Amino acid sequence: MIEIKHLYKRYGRFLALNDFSLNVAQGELFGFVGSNGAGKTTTMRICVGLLKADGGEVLIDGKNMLRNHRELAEKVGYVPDYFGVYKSLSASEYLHFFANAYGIYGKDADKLSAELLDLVNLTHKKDVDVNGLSRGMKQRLCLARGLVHNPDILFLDEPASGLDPKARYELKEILKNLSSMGKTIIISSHILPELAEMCTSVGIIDKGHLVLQGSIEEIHRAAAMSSPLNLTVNENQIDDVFAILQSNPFVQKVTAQGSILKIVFTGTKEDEGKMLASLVSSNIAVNSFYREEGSLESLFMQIVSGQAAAPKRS
Amino acid sequence: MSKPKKNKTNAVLYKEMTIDMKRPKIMIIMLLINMFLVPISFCFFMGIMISSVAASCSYRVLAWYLIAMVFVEATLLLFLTPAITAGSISLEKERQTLDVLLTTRMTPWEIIKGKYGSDFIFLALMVISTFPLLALVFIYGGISFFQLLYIGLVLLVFIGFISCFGIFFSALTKNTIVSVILTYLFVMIYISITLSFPFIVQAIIATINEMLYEDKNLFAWITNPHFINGDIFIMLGTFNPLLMIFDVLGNTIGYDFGDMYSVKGMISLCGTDVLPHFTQSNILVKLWTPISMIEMILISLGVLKLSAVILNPVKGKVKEKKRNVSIANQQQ
Repeated sequence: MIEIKHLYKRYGRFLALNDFSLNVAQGELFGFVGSNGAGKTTTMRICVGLLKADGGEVLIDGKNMLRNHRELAEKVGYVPDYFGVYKSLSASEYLHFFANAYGIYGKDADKLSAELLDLVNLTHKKDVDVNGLSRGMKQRLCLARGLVHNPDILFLDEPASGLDPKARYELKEILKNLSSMGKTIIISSHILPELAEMCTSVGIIDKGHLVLQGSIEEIHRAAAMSSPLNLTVNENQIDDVFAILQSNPFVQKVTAQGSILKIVFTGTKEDEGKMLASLVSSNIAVNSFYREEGSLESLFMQIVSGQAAAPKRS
Repeated sequence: MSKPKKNKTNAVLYKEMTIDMKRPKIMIIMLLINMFLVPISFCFFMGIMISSVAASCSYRVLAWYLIAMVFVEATLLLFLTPAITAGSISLEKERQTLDVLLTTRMTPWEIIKGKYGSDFIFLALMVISTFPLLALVFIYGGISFFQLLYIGLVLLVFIGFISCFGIFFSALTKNTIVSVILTYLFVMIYISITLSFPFIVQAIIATINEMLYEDKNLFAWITNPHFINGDIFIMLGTFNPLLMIFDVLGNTIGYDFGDMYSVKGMISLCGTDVLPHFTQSNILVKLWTPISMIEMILISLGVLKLSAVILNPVKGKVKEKKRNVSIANQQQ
C-alpha cells in the first residue's frame, strides 16, 4: 500500500535520508523507530507531501504522492510532532474548521465533529478552548483532526512524546481501535519498547537508512538473539576455547571476564547447539552456557551503534 | 465514520468570517479609524458654520472636505493594511497550523485566497464604515452618489493592492514582525518610485536630448520630432495607487479648480508645452483611474499567485532518476 523507494533528502551538507526504502502493507500498525535526527520526521513529511525529496519516490496505492497530492491527500492523514492548534477555537470549532478544509460543512460537519470527539473521548470538552486542554487532550484532538476525512492511512509523528502514562495508555487504546477499523497506521517514536507493545511490525531507521524491518515477533526474536552468549569454562582452557570460537563464522566478538566468556553470536539456535557440541567434543569443560535475556532497548542501542547484525527483511 | 458530501466553500475564508470576524479586536479597529476621522469632520463643519455667519460659503469648501477625508483615510489604510495582512500566513507558520492545512484538500492557492479574501473583506468593511462621514458632502451637494461610490471603489482597489504585498511577504517569511517591516518598506519604496520615476525619467530624457543635440533649450525635444520622446514614461505614474486616488478626486470635484487637483491638472501644471501630448483629449489622461485600477488588480492577482507558489511545499516537478544518480555519485 505504501511504497517508499530510494528516498534521498539533504539539508545543506547533512544527508537526512540516504537511499531509504520501506514497504508498509495495508492494515498494518507500523512502528517507525529511530533516534533523534535519524530521518523519521523527514520521511513522514515527504510521505504526506509537505517536503520534496531530492531523489526517490513515495507511492500510495501505486500512485506517486507528489504528482497526485490532491487526490492522495484524501487518503492520508497526518498528525505532526507539534499540535498546530488555533488557540481561540473550541475543540468542536477546531474539528469543524478542518472538516470544512476537506469540504464538509453544515450538519455533516456537526455530526462528524461529534463522532470524532466521541472517538477520542473528548465529548465532554467540546466547548472548551483548545488552549485550555491538557497536553494529552490536545494530542487526542490532533489525532481526531487527522481523522476528519476518514483517511485510510494515518501518519503519526511521535504522538506519545511528552504524555503522562495515563495519556499514553489512552492514546494506545485509540490507536488499537483505529487499527481494528482497518486503517494503516505509521507511528514514529524513538522508543522501541513503547511501539512494540502495540505495533504489528516495526522498522528502525538510522542515519537516514532503514537498518531493520520486520514483524513484531521477528523483532522480539532479534532482540533475544542480540544479547551475548555467556560461557563459563575452566580458566586454564580459555586459550583453547578462543581458538575454537575464532573458527566459528557466527562469532562476532568474544570478551573474557575471568572464566566467563561473553560471545556476540549471530547464528540461530541450531548454530548455538553446534558450537556447544564442538566445544564439548574438544574436551572443554563447559560449566554453564546460556544467553542473557535480550531487551528491545538493547537491540535498538546495538543497531544504532552498529554492533548488532540484525536480520534485515525487505 | 461516515463520508459526507463535499462542499467547495473556502474553509479559511469561512472560518475567518464566521469565527474570527466576531472578535472584539475587529470592532475596536473599526471604531478607532472612525474616531480618528470624526474630529476632522467635526472641525470642518464647525469652521463652515462659523464662516457662514460672516459670509456665504462656497460648496468648494465641501470639495476640500472630501479631498481631506479621502486622503486621511487613504493614509490610515496605507499604514493599517500591512499591519493587518502581513501576519496572515506568517502567524499560521508561527502557530504551526500551516503545515496541517497544507496536508488537507486545500491547495496553497485556496489558502491564499481565503486569507486575502478575509483580510480584504475586513478592510472593505472599514472603508464602508467611514462612508457616512464622506457622505456628509451631500449636505451641500456638488457630488453625486455614484461619484462617491466610485471613490469608494477606488479605495477598495487601493486596499486590495496594498493587501497583496502583505500576503506576499507573509508567505515569504516565517516571522510576522519581519513580514510587517518588509511590507511597510516595500510599499513605501514602491509608492516613492512610481511617484517620482515618471518625472525623473522626463528630466533625464530632456537632459539627454540637450546633450545630444546641443540645444540650449531644455524642452526643444517636444517640438523637434527627431528628439527622444519620453511621453510614454508618464504612464508609469498609473502604477501609483496614490496618484489613482488623486486623479479620481480631481475628476470628481476638479471642474471648479481648473483641473489642479487631478493628475491631468498636475501634468498641466508642468505646462502643456512641456508635455504637449497630454491634453484633455489624451486617452491616458482621460482614463487614468480605470487604467490604474486594471493595472493594480492584475498586479494583485500576479502577486497572490506568486505567494501561492511560495507557499507550495513541493514546488516544481520531480526528476527522480536523474537526481538519484547525482546523489549516489556524491555518496561515492
